[in-house]
Amino acid sequence: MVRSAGAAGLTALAVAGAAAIARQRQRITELVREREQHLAELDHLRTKRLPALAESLNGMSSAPVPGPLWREDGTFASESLAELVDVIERIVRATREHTEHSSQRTLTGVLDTVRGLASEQHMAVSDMQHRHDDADVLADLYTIDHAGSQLSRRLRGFAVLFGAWIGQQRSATSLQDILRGAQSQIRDYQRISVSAYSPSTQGDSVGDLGVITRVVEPLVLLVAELLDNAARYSPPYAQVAVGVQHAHNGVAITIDDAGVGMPLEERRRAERLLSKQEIALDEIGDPPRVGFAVVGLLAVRYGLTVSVDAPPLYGGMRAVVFVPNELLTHIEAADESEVRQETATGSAGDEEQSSRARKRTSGGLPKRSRRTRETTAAQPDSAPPEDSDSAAGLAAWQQASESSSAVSVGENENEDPHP
Amino acid sequence: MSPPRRRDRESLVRPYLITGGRAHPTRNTLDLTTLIQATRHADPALLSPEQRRTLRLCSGGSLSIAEIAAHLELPASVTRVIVADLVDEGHLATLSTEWQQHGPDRELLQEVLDGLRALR
Repeated sequence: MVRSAGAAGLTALAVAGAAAIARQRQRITELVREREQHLAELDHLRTKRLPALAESLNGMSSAPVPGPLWREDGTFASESLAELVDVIERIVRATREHTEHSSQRTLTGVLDTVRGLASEQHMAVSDMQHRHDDADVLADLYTIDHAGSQLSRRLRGFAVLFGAWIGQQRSATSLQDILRGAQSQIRDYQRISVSAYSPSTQGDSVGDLGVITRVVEPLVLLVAELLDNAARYSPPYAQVAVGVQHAHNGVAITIDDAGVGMPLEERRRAERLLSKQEIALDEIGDPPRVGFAVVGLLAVRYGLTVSVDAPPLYGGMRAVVFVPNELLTHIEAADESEVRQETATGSAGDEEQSSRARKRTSGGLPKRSRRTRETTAAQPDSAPPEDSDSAAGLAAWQQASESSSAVSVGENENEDPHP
Repeated sequence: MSPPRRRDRESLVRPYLITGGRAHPTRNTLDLTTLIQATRHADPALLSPEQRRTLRLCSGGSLSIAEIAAHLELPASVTRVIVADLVDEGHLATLSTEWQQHGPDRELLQEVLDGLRALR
């Protein structure tokens, strides 16, 4: 009995032992498999995921970064690996952003200094042109002035890329002056033909149109970059034609060149850059080509639309800049106001009446006259303008002082004087 | 001639663009005091804005080159190129006066001098 009981106990022990061994064996197999998985996962991380992550972070590839081989949630290994990848990505991104910001700050600082000097030089050349009354000297000054204008355009382009201030604020300016201003700033300005003039007698013509203060400088720069591109991609004897057309809810500035068109690859790049909200420094390329990047950023920032395409049967490229109505204003051309000065004293003819009636244009645009010395001369309690080198200024001042008998010449020229 | 007024910014449309890069006028008979008068109407669509303004300025009576330059706010040498082109086209004519041919006479100078002395 004792013996059999002992045997039974042994058997039970053996069975239990065997079960334990089997369990352990299974556990070992599991562990081995798990270890193999981990090794495979690590290998996958090392050879596939991290290189792919690096490429995507460097902007070299837009392919998605592959995930882990096994997606068993909750295991220590998968969680810690996922975390590791996250940490790496965060660190790289943060470092990149930091580098980008600090290099942008440095560049903006450097740029400010250079721009200050360039502007000083440009101004000095302008003054010299006024001071020297000699054609040979003028010819030389033209060369310096032209180089200065191009330099200033380049610097403003970089400012746009670095997110810095674009430059001086100008008063509302006619489209014609915008286009000619842009023309001034490119190397081959003599190959550009601008045809923005149309007689203003027909009321709301393109000749009266201008853009509001905020977009003057951006639009000049944008058009200049497109003109530069058009001149660059067309033969040196061909003209680049610039025109302005009324469009639905705005105007379209068209720039046509008779070139061979841009290579497809270049056009793809242009299209990509035109639609970007933000551009990293390393996208500018080496050597840097900033034209379309600047155009794209300016368009997005200021609510303009730009398209560049190669119409079939046409040859060359056509760039169209759409300026919406809300950025447009009416400009009273300088020559028009002079005529008004003349007619106002003598036979105040239809000209004056019609221009009064045009307080709002037929397109519903508000009318705003350009601020010239004629209006500044009519400021409150202003003494007779000392530098009245223009008879128009004097006439405006006289008119203003007659219109309000009170001592203070009205702040609002056409409204009632203060009580 | 008074010194040029200091401008606080560069003008948008540069002088070299206005004259198409030409610094030398097509005729060298124009000096600062040459009087200019409009002669015939021109099609504005064929003219540059500066040419249009010059024609309008000179349509009311005669103006000197210096005055035209001041109105256009352009250098006198640039204005000369613009005016010379318009004279070539027949839109403007120079007005030669006795003053310009012979200079002021002695009597007039004496009167001016007397007047200036009387101011003191």
